[in-house]
Amino acid sequence: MTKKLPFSTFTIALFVIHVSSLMPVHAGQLAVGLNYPGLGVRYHFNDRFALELRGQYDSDENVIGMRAYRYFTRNKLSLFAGIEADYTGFKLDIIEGMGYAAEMFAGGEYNILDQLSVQLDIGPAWVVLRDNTTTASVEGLEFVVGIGVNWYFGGNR
Amino acid sequence: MKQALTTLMMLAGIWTLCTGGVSVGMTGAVHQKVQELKDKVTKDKISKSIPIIDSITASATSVSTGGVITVTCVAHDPLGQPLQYAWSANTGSVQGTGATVTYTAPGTPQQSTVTCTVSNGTNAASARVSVYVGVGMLKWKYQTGGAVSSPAIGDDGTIYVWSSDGRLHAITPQGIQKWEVMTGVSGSQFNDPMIDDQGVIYIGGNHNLYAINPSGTIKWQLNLGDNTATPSLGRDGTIYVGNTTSHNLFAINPSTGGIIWSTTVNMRGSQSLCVIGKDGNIIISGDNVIYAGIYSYDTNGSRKWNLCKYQGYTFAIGKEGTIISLSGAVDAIDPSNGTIKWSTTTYAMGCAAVDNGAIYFCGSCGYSFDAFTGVMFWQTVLSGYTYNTTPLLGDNDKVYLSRDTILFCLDSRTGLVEWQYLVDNRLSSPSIDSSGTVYIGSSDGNLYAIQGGACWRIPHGQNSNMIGVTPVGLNNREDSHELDSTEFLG
Repeated sequence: MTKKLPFSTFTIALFVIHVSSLMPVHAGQLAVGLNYPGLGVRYHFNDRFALELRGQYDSDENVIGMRAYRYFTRNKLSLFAGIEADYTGFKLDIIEGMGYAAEMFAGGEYNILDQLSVQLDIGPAWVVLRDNTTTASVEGLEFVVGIGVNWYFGGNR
Repeated sequence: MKQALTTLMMLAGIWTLCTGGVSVGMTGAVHQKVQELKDKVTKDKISKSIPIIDSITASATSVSTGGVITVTCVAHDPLGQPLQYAWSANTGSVQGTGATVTYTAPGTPQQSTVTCTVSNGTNAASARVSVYVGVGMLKWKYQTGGAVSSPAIGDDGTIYVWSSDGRLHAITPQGIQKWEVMTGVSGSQFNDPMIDDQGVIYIGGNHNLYAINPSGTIKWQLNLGDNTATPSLGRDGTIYVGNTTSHNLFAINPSTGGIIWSTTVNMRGSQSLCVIGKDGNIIISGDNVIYAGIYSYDTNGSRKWNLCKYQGYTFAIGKEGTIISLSGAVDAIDPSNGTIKWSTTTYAMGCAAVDNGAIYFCGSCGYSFDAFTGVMFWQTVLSGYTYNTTPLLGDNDKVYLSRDTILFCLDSRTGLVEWQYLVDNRLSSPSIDSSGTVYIGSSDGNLYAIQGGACWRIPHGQNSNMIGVTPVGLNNREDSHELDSTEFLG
């Protein structure tokens, strides 16, 4: 499975982010999201702040973590930035271990319907992994693109 | 915000150009790092990976001088990397590459070491196997309380030896005592036990002849009034034994221990002076001034003939019944009338061994003569001195000679020394069992079980009539499968 997006993806992403429209975001809303490759539950405290508990699973590794969102615009396309902290575990044929990741991200959420939105974000992540069998470890920077679909419930419109 | 986002996207684009792409989802980022970690660990493991040598074995742990064996090394790499094999030997030569090679032994008896070094390109391990070239292998030794006689081997493989402290020992082929019995016979090392068809063991010495059941109980004992020699078994099971001072020959009932008849012969010695000829007659020697010579008696105790040329010491019976007498020289005697068929002036001691066409004995050297003509086949210079011992003929054209403290295994066709074994004190005559294990007693109090094991031979015809094969480098061995622990070179 490829884990990299080609450069052309960013051209499209830039286009999407620069399309603006007005769509209010309601405080107290709860959203269930499908992100690649996992699930998340997001709660909007107000128009500006939201927290998301998310998990991602792949054949060799899985990640569970928390995201904090800060929204800057409240339109059909809402722009946001945030931070993410994760715990990860992995298991391959010759290594097995755990690690941590931290990311700063920025992106946009586009409301297709009242309750349905798609989002795209990008940011640098610092990943630290340690092999339990040999105590070898690696750490370093990765750029991460996040894509997802959200379904909103309730809240005050 | 849009400006910051645009900046971030540009950074991501640069990152993508530099690294080939960005990760999708946090699992993608983790996956990239996991692969980095896996590469790092793999590289580390490869750098530390050392081939493991499971075994190194030789097709035989002993080989005759100049013989050939194969040596095989079984090894693997923990990471499955391909292996290369490098071989060497401190003596002799190694031919071939790969996991199995051929080793050619040097031309002189010694212990040789064949070493295999296995490499995975990064690290290497080595292992050695010892190969005994021309040296016998000790399987076990059994300690007694005195000098040990020549062994006698029962049909079930039990080895019987008498020790000069008076005990008769029954020992399994594995070297474990089955039983021992005090006989009261003491003194000379050469009171050799004899076994009859029923497995009853007879041992003579001092004034008595003992018959001992295979279970270790004394069946009977007979006082013959004088030192008795090693008894001989007649065709009908009758026991014949001479004594050494009163000069009598006795025929004894094996069931009861009763004397059937006795006759006066002037004889001496405590070794096997009495043998049974092909015609069933009893051949015995004496050294009295008047009656010096060799005597033949029939099974009724009547003298058939006597040869008074000189004193006779020991006898062996050839295939045609010819009596081979060793008494400082060698005489072949017609068993029907006691006339000499041929004789040599070759100095000879101990007893001879006779096969279909050759006789083997020791004197100044080891000798083989044509049993029919008295023509020498070969002589081989051997160290040590020959006492009154008898050569032993084994399978595969081997003849075993004990000289003083050394047991020699020779090729009976060429006289080439295949292996030798050294002990601390004087040896008895050897015996051999069906597995090829040679048993021999010693005045050092031990019974030795020795395995040659070499099956490779000089092609017939080479080195025949060889003279001057002098053994060197006596290095007895006590392990059959010495295998060194693996040592790491990398």
